[in-house]
Amino acid sequence: MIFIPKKYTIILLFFCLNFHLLAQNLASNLIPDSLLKNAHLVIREKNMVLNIESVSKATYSLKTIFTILDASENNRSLLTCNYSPDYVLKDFKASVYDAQGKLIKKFNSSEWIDRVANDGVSIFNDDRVKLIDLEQKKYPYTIVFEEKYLIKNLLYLPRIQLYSNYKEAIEHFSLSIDYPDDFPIIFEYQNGFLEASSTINSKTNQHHVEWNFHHLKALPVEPFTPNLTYYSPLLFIIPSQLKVGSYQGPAQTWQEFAQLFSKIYFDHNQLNPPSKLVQEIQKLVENESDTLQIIKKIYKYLQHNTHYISVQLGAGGFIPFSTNYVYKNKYGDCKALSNFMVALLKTQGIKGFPIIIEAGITPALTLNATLTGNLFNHVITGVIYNQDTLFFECTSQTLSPGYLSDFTANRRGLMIDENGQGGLIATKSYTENENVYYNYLNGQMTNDGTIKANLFSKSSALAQDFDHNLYFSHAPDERLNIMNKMFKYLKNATISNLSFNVVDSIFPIIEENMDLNIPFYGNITGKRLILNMNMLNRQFNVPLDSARIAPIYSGKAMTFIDSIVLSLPENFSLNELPTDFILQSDLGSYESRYKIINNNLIYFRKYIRYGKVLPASDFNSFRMFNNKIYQRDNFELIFTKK
Amino acid sequence: MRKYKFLLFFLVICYGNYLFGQEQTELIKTKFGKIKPEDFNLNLTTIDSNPNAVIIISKGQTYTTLHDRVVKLIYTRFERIKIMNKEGIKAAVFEIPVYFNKSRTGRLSKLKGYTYNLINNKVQTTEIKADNIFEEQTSKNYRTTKVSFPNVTEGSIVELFYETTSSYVYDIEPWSFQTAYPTLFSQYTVEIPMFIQFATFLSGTINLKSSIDYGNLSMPVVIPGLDTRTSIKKWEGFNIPALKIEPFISSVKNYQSKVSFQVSSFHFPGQPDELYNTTWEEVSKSLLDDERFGLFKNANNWLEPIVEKVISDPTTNKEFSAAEKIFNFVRDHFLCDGNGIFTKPYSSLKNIFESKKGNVADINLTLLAMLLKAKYTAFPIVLSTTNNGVIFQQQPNLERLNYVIVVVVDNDKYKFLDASQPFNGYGLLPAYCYNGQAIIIKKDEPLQFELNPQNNVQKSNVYISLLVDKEQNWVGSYTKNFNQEESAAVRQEIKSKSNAVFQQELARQITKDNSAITIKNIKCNQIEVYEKPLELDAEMEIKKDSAAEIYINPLFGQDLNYQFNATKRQNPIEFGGLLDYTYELDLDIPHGYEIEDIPENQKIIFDNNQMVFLYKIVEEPNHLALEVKLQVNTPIILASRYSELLDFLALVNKKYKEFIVLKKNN
Repeated sequence: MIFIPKKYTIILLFFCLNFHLLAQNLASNLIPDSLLKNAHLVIREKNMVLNIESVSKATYSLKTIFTILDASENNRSLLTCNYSPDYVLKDFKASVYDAQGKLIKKFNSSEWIDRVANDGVSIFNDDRVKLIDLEQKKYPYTIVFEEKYLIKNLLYLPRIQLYSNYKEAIEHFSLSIDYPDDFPIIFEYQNGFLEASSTINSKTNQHHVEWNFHHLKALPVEPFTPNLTYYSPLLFIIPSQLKVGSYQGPAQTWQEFAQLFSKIYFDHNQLNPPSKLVQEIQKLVENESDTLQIIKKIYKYLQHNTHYISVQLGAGGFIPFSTNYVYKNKYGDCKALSNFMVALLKTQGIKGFPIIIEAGITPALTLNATLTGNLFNHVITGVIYNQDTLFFECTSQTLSPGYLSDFTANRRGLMIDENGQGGLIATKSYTENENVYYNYLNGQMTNDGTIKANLFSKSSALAQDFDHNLYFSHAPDERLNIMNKMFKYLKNATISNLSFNVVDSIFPIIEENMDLNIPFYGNITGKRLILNMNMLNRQFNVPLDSARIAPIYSGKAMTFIDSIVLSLPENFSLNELPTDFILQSDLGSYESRYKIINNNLIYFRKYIRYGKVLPASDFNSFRMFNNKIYQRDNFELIFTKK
Repeated sequence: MRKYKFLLFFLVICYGNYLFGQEQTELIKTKFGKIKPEDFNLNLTTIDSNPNAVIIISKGQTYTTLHDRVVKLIYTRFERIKIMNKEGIKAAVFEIPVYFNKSRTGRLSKLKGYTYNLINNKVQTTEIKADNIFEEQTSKNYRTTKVSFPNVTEGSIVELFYETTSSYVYDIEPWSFQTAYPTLFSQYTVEIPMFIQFATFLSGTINLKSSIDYGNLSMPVVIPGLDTRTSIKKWEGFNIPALKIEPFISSVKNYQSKVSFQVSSFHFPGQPDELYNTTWEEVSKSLLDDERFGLFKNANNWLEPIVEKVISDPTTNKEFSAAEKIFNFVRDHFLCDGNGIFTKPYSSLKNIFESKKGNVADINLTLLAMLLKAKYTAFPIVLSTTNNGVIFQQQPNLERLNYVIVVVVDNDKYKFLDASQPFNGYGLLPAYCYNGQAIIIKKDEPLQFELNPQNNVQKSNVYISLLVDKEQNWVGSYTKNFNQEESAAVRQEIKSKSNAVFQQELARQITKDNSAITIKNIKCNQIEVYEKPLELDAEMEIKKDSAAEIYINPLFGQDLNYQFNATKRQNPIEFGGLLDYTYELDLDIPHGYEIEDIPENQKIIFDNNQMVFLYKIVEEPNHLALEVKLQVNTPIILASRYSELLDFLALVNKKYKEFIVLKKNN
């Protein structure tokens, strides 16, 4: 028998009791049935405690207890703690429990892997990550994960997204925020995040706000949705002041935010170009009197002479490298390159300004008109010209001057002015009138159904983004392979004589020309030929979904025009020529027409997608619209041998 | 004799010189830091047109130094790269990882680099400075130095020279002659003293010129008994095309031109000889002696009651042998989190049992330990999986192995077992194990044998029977027996999706969104019996069509699974195994209709029955019977047959699309 001193037995007993309680709580069968629908993971408890003490100090603790129900969410067993000099990891713990709530294992810190946080972009950064994978063989199992951080730069305050994943139900979620009376915080609510008000402790002068959520059902994975962030309830925590490196100032409105960033971006004469560079630019534009041409030349100079390399160091990577640095190395990140562009323009007395922006997600999140919230991950340059603003993506060596791709178009960003003014500005918006994909295919079909054709394509604005990448980022061989894959309906087709023509413009155009050989495209059995004239673009089929939850989004605004002329072998005659088909709706418009002229069969298709986001309740009309197009797109003509 | 050797060497040099053209001789002579305006003009006619970047020179050297009885390996590398276009600027960022740990120190001892730009036919030189160099600890044992060249634009040439020094002499740096960019000249020289014995492995299809010479290790103090002669091996290649990533390749490593090394022994006077594995016998012995592999031999008495309990578990199938019960237990209890032939550091059977997870070695060696406890004759087998590249009989090299399985004698039959994969059945191996050489590890007598991809036959079939009901709809059944690979994948789907989602997705796969076809009541059999193929049964319905003529594709829009997009092929096409697929349809003709046209019977053969496609349709009164067969009888097709393969597939695709025409009777 093991002897245990008396004074320890109580402690032991306490531990046993505690353990017993925990075991009860964590058993998977305690999850209410009502939460299991669509759920593959259940957050049993999520507890966020944020204590903002000053402009350069906040503590943030997060405890998450979640049960992974089956293998479809097994990737969630990978736990990560990101940290950096401004986001200090103070503590982290994890343990895993089986279905009965019995402890399988507690992990000590030496079992975690520590490595550089590779953001996939930066060549170098000082962010690091600790990670561990707690995956278990037997489902369900429960993970208890605790993290504690010290936040030294309030730009790193978390953005609270109520639903951060699909297929995840939430049993309890509590969030509490404390802040001193003399350091006010504003809360910005989006997409219907529950509003709460603070209470003040008269003794400590501390404000306290609390949110509690119970029994939030899981969102199923649904097709044709915008990014989850676009429609999940969001809470932004906006401190009255920010301190970035040695720069401090109020930052609750866009004007204040712009003012602070103006200091961060333009202090220390970071813009001043070396005299050699001034001479170079002078020489570049000496014979040019037209301002627009000068702007374009300067952008081309930047594109030709610099490239994008991200180095994120110090003050969270918020302070851009100087003009001199970029000039010397010929590279920089988005901030440095945008500032470089501004500096180059300035040598010619042209006013440019950096715009900080949330790039990537389309459709972009709506920004509150007055309140800030750090939504930014990228910087571009704006130039005012003729009462209009021109936009330049300075990290690209190939984009047409004045054109923004899908990455930053159609959204609002924050303009940072050198003199401290600045505010929200809308970037270029490209509609279905500019984004056009046009195809003209002219071919002959032989007796075995094989088609030899010439295809001419012309795409513009956002419609040419794909071809732009294809043309500029891939070697010719690769291009062919990728294009072959694009022709989904032309099995075994081979492309030859491919040529491109790129037309620079603020609505750039790419033209392609190629010859196609499509073996056995016409489907011949005995005396019949079955032929789908719609060879290039076909609409998808949308399955029935009576319980649609998410809003509907099926892609950006775009016009698709296909014109196909095919000469057929003489011995086949068409059984019946289909009548014209026209469809109109809030979502877009569609038309499809057939014609026979001499021995040529002519097909015309025009589909315009308006690129709107629609409420879930419109799902049925969305489905009907698409499926009508789907049917017509898959229409097959029948011919008989004479 | 010595004279002759010298003469021979001289001849080789002359002969070599004779073979090289002017440009090649220039390349060989090129020195780091010395560049002329002419060097910007490259002759690319013999390699890929329009690459993003071209490696002009890639020159490496490994040699040893000896100071104070400490041997060090020095590795130098000189790269000169031309940036051809904007996309190629990526090639101007270098990463140099250096391994280190407490006992073996590795460090980057020299680093220099320049960017050259041609301006008005003059070379402008920019040297890399401290702010172009970034060093970080990427993981526990690796420090990576990243170099981002300054002043790089289209047309720039960047040049890098670096040297690493390592006190760990058993890792002689390998050399890849072929990379993502085409290379005009690649050369690697390895000079190693005789007291370090090593084996050399050359792979790939590029024509390399190799030579061997002898030298002497210079050292300040003579160490008696030390053989300081060195062998100098050199390989060089010109105009090497870029390595292509293509579909239907098991591992691109198999085709990459590369040289690698394995140190076999280290003799140093006054130190015990260190020996490394040069034969499979030695490999086998060292594996068994290694705690990270041999752990299954330990006493592990605590395991006995567990084995006993598993064997006598009343809930398991009585027909199962004890071995099968043990296999099922291990497979269903342990989670696999990676490949490897060694167990994880600090693994013991006991903590594998506790954590319920481990890598392939952890799990299959646990299985082995349990089988041995149950008095079975069983052995571990080590191999390299298909995506890890093939191994060769002549090259006993532990580094190239990445997988452990088990062979057991059960009822006088040999069974190969892999309990690491959650849906793998008893006596079955995942397809990726069929990769040629495998070695049964037995003390003193390892047995090499072949896991031939020819023996990995993926057999499946579909049977559809459709009758006509009173309303003139087609009603009937859809049955599919999945092949082994498909079975594992579908079992996984069943486990991770709700039944409704699974049914819906599967139905869509079969109907191909054809709104006339309905698939319902999908039932899967043998979901839990992983030894057997998964069977699928469903009801199938096709809505009546009252048109004067009905067109039916008897394969219901099924696609061929082989999609090749490239117009040219560099490497062989590997299927990893054989395929045997049969599709059968029994179709009743609706009343009032007769057959107007049916596809022709056809047999299409590719290259001596390497692939065979059969299409056979039989017309009976009011009935049609179709049989389609596709057989792939070779695991590999040579790149030279690529265009014929495309023609074959186009013809097969055509047959897949053909249709039946039914016409209303008058």
